[in-house]
Amino acid sequence: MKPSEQHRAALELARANLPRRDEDAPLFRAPWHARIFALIIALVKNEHLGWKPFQENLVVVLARHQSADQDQSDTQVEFEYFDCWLIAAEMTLLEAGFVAEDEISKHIDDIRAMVAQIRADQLSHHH
Amino acid sequence: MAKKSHGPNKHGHDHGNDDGHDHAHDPLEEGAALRVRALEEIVVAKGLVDPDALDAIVEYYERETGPRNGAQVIARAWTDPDFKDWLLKDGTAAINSLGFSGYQGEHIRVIENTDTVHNVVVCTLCSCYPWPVLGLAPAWYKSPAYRSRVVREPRVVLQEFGLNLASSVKVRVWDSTAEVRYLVLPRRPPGSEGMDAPELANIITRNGMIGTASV
Repeated sequence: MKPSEQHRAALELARANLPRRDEDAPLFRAPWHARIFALIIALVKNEHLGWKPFQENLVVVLARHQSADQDQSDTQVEFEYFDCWLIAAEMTLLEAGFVAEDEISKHIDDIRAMVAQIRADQLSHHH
Repeated sequence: MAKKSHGPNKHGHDHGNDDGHDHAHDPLEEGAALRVRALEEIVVAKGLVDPDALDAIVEYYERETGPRNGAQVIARAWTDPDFKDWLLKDGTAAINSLGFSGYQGEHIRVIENTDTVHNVVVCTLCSCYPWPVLGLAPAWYKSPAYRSRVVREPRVVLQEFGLNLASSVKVRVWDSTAEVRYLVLPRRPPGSEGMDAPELANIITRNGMIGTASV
């Protein structure tokens, strides 16, 4: 085969292997993706936040955190993207003064403690 | 990029450790999920959002928006020259007239593919996308690979999507922003003369309206 034919054959082969790009892929691949997406949209809709400050933070975070890996799967792309969305959301809520710096980690500790308590209670009922 | 990132077998089998899908772990232990829950509870407790509003938003994006909306817009433009003129002059108003409006659709510009120009849309900085007509962006649109490469080597990227353009066709890349989002008006395919608008809407794909497919 001549090089040009080889190239064409390789392209044909690549194309044959291209999976169908499906419009029915899940919109959100984890429940928390949907929640953090909706949280920002809700705050913009009820005008507690502007879209622009959030979007500007998202741009900064994507530039900083998104991997340069060109071969990521869709799932990897989505998880990395929503990680960035979450970081940008926290930045924007902090800047707006809606959340204080240590408030989130404190609340996480509270949730963990509450869950641990519920489990401990369940265990003591079993015995 | 395109080939590697779309295999159906990729979904559900090659998750990284941090992707939150490992069912062996308690969901509460996942950093991001717990963080989001905490953030939501704080914001709700302060009366800034209503949790029902969050549910409604998720439901809206899952059910009401999506590329079928855009397909109706394009089919109308293919069958109604006056509407097409309006769509190209004032995309936002023409799209609103069909009942598609809302967030991230405040300013939509429609760009027309011709015999000599093929348009393709990207958001180089993040993921700006016309939600009311296309729904939320697919993973590849948000990937760093697409966002950087389609600007540098659009023909190669389009080829990977299976779109081979004649060398006489000029490729124009449009960068969607928070201010203006772009929607491609594909060329009506030859052989579709006998089809009515609903039939035409069925052959229009999301990628056609982004510019990574011909229709």
